[in-house]
Amino acid sequence: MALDIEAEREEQIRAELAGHLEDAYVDAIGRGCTEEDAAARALAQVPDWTRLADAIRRADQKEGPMSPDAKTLWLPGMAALGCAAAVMLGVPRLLPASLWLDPRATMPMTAGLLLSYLAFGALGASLSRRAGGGIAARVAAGIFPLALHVSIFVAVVVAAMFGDRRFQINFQLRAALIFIVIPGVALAVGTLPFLKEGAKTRASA
Amino acid sequence: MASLSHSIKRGSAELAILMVLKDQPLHGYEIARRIEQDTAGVLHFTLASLYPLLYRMEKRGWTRGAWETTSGGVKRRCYSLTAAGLKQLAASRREWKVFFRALDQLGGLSRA
Repeated sequence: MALDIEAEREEQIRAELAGHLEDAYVDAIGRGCTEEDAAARALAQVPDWTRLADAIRRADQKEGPMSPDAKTLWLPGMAALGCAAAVMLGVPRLLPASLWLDPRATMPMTAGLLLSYLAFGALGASLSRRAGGGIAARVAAGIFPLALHVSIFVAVVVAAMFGDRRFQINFQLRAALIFIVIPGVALAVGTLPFLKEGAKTRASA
Repeated sequence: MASLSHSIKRGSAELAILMVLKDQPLHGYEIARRIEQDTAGVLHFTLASLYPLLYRMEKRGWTRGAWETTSGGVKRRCYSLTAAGLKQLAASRREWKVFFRALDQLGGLSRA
């Protein structure tokens, strides 16, 4: 049965259906059926696997005008990116210029920015999870603000190419570290709590 | 045992699932078994009829599925009602009450 949907989702559906068949088999054995009969009864629940795959594919598609990617990736990602852009543009305007030049303020400001990026990563991933996004979509939505950083990095590197060439490589490495690697790690760490589905233990009903 | 036509079963299936999930989260097989038991077999779900419905309801935001480990040590995807699902349950109940009241007024279900 091929569903032709996101691989991770397809795997989950396969596991879920297999679990259902297993429960039906065990239930039938418990009611006195032979192993053969129990297996036949369980499999009889699906007279046509192709038809079931079609029905599941249709059901698993989002209803309404928005595509699954729009709800699980683009919208959550844009929300996280919007928050990051607001902070990047808003913080320099809100804080006094003297604070930027004060070395004592560097650490608290850096810590604050990194914490905000943890929150943006968490925001993107949590919105994606609420929309039914898989792990890949959640991670992508969480680190989506990196798109802004990459564009800044490219602009900075291009600008530096016209500057002193002796400092070019060193400058690029530092720029990559500051604009991409560190925020990227913070965003990725922020997504972590939202990559797992509940793994609670509960009594079987 | 009474037998219901396919269209009525289909129309009531979502309500039945919402009703059994109101009390506690259940996985797919438990949902089917609970509905069958509670309706004395009048409503009967197979794997093929249940899961497309469950996935559609989850996509609508009425239910939320999560993998859980049962006391038997096996992993099952359990469904619970969301706030939207509870609202839908209340709305569906009202609609079905109106529907049956209308049928009753039309000719009297008891005399049908």
